[in-house]
Amino acid sequence: MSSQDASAAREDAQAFIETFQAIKGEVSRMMVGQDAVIDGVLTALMAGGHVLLEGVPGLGKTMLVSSLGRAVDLTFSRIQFTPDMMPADVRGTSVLVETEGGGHELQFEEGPIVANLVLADEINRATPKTQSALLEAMQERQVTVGKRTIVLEEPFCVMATQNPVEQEGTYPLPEAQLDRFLFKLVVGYPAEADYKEILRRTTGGTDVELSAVSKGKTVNKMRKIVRSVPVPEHAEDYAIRLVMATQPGSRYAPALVNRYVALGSSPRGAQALLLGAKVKALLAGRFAVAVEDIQAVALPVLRHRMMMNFEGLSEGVTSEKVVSEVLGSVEANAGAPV
Amino acid sequence: MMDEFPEGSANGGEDPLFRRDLDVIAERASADISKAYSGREFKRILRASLPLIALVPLFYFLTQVAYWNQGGDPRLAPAILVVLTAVGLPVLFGWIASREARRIAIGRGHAMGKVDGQLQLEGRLQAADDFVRRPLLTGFERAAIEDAATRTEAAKTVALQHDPAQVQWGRASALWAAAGVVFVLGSLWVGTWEMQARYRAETANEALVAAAGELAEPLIEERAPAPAVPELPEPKALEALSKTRQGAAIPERADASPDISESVKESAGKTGAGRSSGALSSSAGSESRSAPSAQGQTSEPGDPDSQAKPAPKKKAKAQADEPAPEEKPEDEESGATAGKGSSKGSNKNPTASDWKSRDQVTESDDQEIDDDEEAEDDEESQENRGGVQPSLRDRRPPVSRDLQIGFGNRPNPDANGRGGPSEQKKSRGVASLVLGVPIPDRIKGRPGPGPTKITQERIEPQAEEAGTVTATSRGPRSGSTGPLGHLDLEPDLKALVRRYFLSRRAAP
Repeated sequence: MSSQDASAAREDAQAFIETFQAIKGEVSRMMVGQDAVIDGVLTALMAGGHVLLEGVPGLGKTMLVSSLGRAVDLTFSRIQFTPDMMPADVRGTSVLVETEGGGHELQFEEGPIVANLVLADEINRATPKTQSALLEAMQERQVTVGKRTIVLEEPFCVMATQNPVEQEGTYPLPEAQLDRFLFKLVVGYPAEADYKEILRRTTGGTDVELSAVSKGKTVNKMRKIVRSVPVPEHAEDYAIRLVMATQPGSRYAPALVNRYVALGSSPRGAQALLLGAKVKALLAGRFAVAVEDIQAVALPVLRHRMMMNFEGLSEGVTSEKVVSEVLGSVEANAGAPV
Repeated sequence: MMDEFPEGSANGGEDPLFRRDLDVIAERASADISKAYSGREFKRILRASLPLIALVPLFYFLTQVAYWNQGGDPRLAPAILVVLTAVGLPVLFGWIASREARRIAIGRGHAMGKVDGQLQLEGRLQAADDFVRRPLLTGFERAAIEDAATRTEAAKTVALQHDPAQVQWGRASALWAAAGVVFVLGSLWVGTWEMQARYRAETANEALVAAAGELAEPLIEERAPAPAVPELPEPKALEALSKTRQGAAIPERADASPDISESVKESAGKTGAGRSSGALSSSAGSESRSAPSAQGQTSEPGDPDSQAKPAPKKKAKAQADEPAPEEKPEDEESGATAGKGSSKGSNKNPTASDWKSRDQVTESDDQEIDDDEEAEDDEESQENRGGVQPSLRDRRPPVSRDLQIGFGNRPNPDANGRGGPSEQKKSRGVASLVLGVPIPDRIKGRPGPGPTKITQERIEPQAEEAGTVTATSRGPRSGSTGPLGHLDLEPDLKALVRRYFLSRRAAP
């Protein structure tokens, strides 16, 4: 019985790796030179979280998400956020429709949020009121309009993009909204060698056609596998210490955090660390989370969960620098004599 | 692929060999880590205790110097003992710290983590060691244990290269060691110098005794032998000893004898022969300080030679400078002259005799005393005149008491503020006696502005007609309403806020 359990776990882990690589390979047919971003997006998808993509225009953020939707065969919707957008434009609203008998009745029309994969393009262009329409959907996986509550179908994943350059007429995401994103991935410029392939694929006569290599049900199964990866006590302790080290005033906080950070990560950060680390452990061929897995996902998990104080902003201290400092200061093995 | 994941199954069928392997790995790793920490602690405490290498010799050196200044033998302990103490104390402290570090319990998880890190197992052993203690195991936990079991052989044989934070010795360590060497050498030098100084003092003493022995008999015959007085050392010998301690060059033994004999001859031929010893104790402070202590050490009561020599000098000095007929006993005078350890070479020494104090008062002191007396006379005369009144030396005219009104509206040109009409009233009477300097009592404003003239005019009221406005329809406003205040920020403040948020949202 025990050996059967172990062999089944090995099969699950192998299936997970194969599915992950298949989806990544399909998306990579469209996206060139963004392997780390693709890995991050797929990790968040498998871990059951949402992703905030930040990058300048023209780097393929929107194309990445739409490619993922096609590769996984998920229902995909795109919301272009604008300052005049209202919450009803996201969640849906009741509209008056004419009935057969000549009468009228209110009928609920679902908004674009009701889909498997939602691309919230330029999310910081919408007002905070509209942005907050996503809160319930991202956390509770349901939407409430009036007295009607719609449970969103799994897998549900919001992938939002924002442009860090054009800040005029934008509304920065509030902390409560940011905390609900599992990862914040920064999309950078591709390498010199990748430009040729990008140009060849996008300016040639033939379009790249993506095919679905997986389905929504498979993704749900992968998510269960991820959840079943055990976390040893030392790794759990390390994740907790890491999150506490981002909180100014805590016993693990380094001097940089105490000086420049106004708000540290919440317990949601620790959850995100372990979920991301579980995916990394499976991809590394292990059956339990290791400290190295937590360290691998620490930056995308923690960078958007910290808020610098005025001194930190004026000194140009970035959250990436703080995360690096935290990783260097927190001991991987607790209980060392010195 | 498994559709449902079991909650867990009993952990009863695990291989006991695997647990034993884990125990062996953990014990070995703990021992290796403990050993490494023990060594590190030894180095750390040794590094922290390095100042003792310099401080112990320094303490010994200072103690030597203190003993030497008090006339004691600075050779308190052998130099090798000091060196051993200076080196041995840091080693002892390091050994104690190392032994304490061995007692610190190394956590099993920590030890496993180190093995994982060295073998790059990415936490497999640590995770398996955690899972084997759980009562219920899931499929993934069993898979993790089995995965780790294949790697225990390498873990059992590997020697843990635990490398705790190394102790940085740095340049300070070398400096401490160098300072220790310097202080040890200094201590050795002090001991050697003291031996040389003693040897020279003894040889000078012997020469003095030999030279003075021939001249002692006539002096003894002139004066009656004094009663029991502590033995006084030979001044030249003391001088030589003190000079050697101050690093001054001293004459060689061959050169010292003629000087001593000459001085003895000179003192024997003059009545004021004791003046040299008096000057020794009064004018040269350092010499007089060292002389009494040396006397106390070398004197032996009942020695007729030592009793005879200072007494005639003292007596002769007293007879030459002091006409006072009152004669003090021999022992008292000799004790005062010798200082008995209390003479500091100052003219204010209460134990010094009167004739000596008057002798040593300088002219500048006399001038100061004269000035003081004159000042006291001034103050005394002022007190007799009332204390706070102006001094007669000022030669100012007396205060006018004329209360006559001046010349019309003009102020009295003779007014001095003390009385009569003047622009400024000054205090007078008792209040003026309170302070030494009269303070003007100014009155602001005019005390009597005079009568107020009120002029009244009578005017008859006149009726005025008020025109009525007829109600008419009014059209829309024509023209602009002008600038309106808006709630927006000023342009510079707007720019400031914009810069702030731009910096805040700046991409890394």
